[in-house]
Amino acid sequence: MNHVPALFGFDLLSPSMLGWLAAAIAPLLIHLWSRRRYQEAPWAAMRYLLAAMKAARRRTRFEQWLLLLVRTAIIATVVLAAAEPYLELGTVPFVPGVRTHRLLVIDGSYSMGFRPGETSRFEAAKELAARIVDESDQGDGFSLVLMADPARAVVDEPSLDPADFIAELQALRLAHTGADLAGAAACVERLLANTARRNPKLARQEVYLLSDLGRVSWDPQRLGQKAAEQIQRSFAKITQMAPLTLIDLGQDDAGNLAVTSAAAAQTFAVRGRNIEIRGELRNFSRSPASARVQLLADGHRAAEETVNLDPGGQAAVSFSHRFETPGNHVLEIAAPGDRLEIDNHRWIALAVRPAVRVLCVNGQPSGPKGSATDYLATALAPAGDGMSAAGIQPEVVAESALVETDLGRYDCVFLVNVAQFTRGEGLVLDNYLKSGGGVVFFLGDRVLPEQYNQILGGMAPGAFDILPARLQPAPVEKRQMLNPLEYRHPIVEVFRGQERAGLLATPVEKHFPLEVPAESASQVVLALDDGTPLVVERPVHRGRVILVGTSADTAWTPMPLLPSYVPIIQEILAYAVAQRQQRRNVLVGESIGAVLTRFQGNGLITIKTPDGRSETAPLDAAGGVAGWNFASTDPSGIYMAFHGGDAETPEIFAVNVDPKESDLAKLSETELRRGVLADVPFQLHGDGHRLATQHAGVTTRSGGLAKPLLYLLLGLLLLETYLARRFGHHAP
Amino acid sequence: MEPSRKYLQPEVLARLEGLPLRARLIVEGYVSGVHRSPFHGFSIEFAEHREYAPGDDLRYVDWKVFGRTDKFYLKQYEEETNLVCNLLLDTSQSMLYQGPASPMSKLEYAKCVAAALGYLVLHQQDSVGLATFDSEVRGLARPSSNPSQLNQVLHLLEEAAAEHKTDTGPIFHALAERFRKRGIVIVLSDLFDDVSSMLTGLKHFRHRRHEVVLFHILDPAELDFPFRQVTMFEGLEQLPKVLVDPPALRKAYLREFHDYLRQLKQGCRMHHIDYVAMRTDQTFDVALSSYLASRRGWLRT
Repeated sequence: MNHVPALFGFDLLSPSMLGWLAAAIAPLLIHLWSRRRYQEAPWAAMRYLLAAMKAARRRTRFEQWLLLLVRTAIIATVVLAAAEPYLELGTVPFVPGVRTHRLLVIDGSYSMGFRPGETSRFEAAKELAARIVDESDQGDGFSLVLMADPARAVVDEPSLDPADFIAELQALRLAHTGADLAGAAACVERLLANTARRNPKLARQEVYLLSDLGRVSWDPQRLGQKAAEQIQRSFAKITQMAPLTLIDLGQDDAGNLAVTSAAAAQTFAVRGRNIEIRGELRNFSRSPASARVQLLADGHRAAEETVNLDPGGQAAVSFSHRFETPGNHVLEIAAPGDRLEIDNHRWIALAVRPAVRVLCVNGQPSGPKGSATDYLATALAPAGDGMSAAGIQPEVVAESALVETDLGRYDCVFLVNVAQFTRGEGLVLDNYLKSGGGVVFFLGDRVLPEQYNQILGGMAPGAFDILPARLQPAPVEKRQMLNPLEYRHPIVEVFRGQERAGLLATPVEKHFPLEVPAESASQVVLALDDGTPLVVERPVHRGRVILVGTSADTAWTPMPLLPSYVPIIQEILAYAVAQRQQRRNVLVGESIGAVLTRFQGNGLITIKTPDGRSETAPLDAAGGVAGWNFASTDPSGIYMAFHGGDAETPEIFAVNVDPKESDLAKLSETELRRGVLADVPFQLHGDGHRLATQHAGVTTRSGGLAKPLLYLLLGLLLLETYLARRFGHHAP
Repeated sequence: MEPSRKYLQPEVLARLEGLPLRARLIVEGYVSGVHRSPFHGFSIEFAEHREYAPGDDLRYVDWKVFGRTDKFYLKQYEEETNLVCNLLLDTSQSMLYQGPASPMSKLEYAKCVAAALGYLVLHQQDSVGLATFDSEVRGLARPSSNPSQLNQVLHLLEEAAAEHKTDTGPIFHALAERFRKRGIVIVLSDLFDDVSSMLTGLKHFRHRRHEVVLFHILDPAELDFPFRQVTMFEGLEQLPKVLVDPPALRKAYLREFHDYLRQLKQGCRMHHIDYVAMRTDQTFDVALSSYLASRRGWLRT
């Protein structure tokens, strides 16, 4: 139920001034005092004076009381005006006469883009904010905070020019993020304190917060107890410095249908091969919904599907599409048509390759059981024609070629039974990881564990911290079965419920025990029966490293001969190369970027944003690679990065909104007063959207009673003058 | 303004001591301002001639008749005796009042007027008398045209002190009985008394065929009531003290006072009494002019 603002309210800004009402008895005291202080004079015409007193006694008394009443009322009126009374008539209070700093906080989360009518909540908030400014007095100052994520002060120093401020307000853009209530509260606290310190002439401060009061941002349960307590403390401090007025722009019955996820099922896409695109939709309204879901490939409709959703329900959609040309492509799942447009689309940036090139560095070109990479290469491209059906193209080189090879041409590097690494090789791998590549280590009897730990485990000075785990000094020879650890890791998740794939029946006869450092980002993918980690992975720089504690051939495990080998290798590859794809698909506010091994141009990357702006990001070159980073990923949509001018094919990045904000459920006033604003004095004006869209009577300048009181005072003074003259209390 | 006329100003005269001097200065100041001398030639009306006898005053020889007849004839006038002017001076306590803006009290002012009139009357060869009174007759100088009469009148005026309340009605009756010879009765008073009683007394004078001139002497403060501060007024003539907020009561007071004045003037008109209002900040020539006008009226009757 909407909060209905009180039709009439009366309050005082300086109630302490009412103490001066005692001064209202001053005229009476003066009257009594003056009767005690008199002059004496002889008088001859006394009989006429006595007669006059007798005749005029009643009238004189009435006149004296009337004058006393008027004079008392004059003082009372002055005192009341000094107490700064104000009325509220369903809108915000105003206090004329005092220079005021009005700090406007506008919720910039994308749920404010919801359109209950012709205008969105955000436009309504701007309209109301502009009216607050319009109706303020000359000399008042204004600050503006956008409560997006992160919250930021758009106008931090109080602006004394309403026209400039309104121009700034009109230029304000809805963020495609959630709302950082804690950040906004901290920002407001800081601005109020700064203004009190630097602008003492702005004797009074007021805070207006215009928000849809969405549960996502305001509900203590979603915020977490600690954050909610922090917010409550901030608002308590704020209200010690300035009265807080909340204007609710939310609607209880606001429904919304959102595309909550979109992703390619494969972590890499190859020219001419189908890729599966999976999406998810959610109905956030209380009534069933139906939507036509489209797949757009490079802006062209590629497929369409109708889905029906129950109230609060979810639905999955799946499309298949193939790109015939390599390069950067864009896929979009769209379900347009509801009142919140922002979350009706999700984009996928996809780099379609001619093939997935995998470099297999063979540390054991020949041995009793053949080359160490034979099984691996076969598992990567089972068809035997050098390229798998999935488009994987393995290439085997000797370990000596590692330094000379341009790793930038490969999507993933498998290092198989490589005995040791020089610092130069370590640098090559480190740079490769910086560029987002995937590195997979298979061990074997040639491996020198101490040397691995020194050069790649970061134990030697100036070495590289690449390995997700440390190798124990000696391999353990003990036959054990694999423990999938409840298939928690994405690499083995595919085996869940696929017992016949034989993962559990895969023995490992010899392995290097792996020690996972505490508090590292490493995750154990597979373990052995005794719990010893066998496969460990962790993200390194922009890429990912997977360390397998056993051999890639049959020297230490018969796995290559078992059915589980090919899928596990394929999954390891997919997971290792997924990082590059993931870097292309981020949420609003997350940074996009890339590491370039070859680059031209002026050291600046030009980025074209979805709203048509052109931004630049500097290239940061170090150690033979150059990286760039761009953090201003708001709004959502497709970002294109040009490394060397417009003629070049741009890198494409998809930036999508966090679907949490799609839930438009709002907090009630009671919940608000029990939640983050518990024990915080504030005024809540409900149905702010109606306030903004109705043009008559809603923002009537209602507040200040000082001016009417001054008129009353003027009237009383004129009345006193007239009465005093009329009653003969003035000189003729 | 001629230097001598400045003595018609009360504030100038107030700086001078002695009634004889004041009286002379007032009259001389007044005379210097009129074209026709008030002292000679118009106070006695011609009746017939009689033959000169030794010892007769040569001033009255008709020289035109001598020129025609070579005989000395004296001009014979209708009345040999001069006009009798009785001055009645109120010396009650209320006459002591002197307002904040007044140069002198009402009594002082009245004494100046009386002295000047006495001086003028005697210089016109007329008789002048003086009675001072409050609730009783306190001093009396019978009318006489003897030049020494002026000293007596002035002495009586200087001796007059205001100590008692007034009671005009009985006093006027008593004096009307005393003034047997027809003349002019000039009353100098603030007349703060019962109007009807006062008028009855004055009517008695009229009944005796006296010409009555009432010089109503008032202080400007009594007419304007200009006080601003809360004041404890102490009533003269045994009236009580009252604490008054003057601005609040001014209108009512003025209404009462003007009612009283209206009654008084109306009564005077009814009984053919010349009423002359005088403020103590007013020049003295008003009094003398009024007297002379009354004298002319008296002579015509």
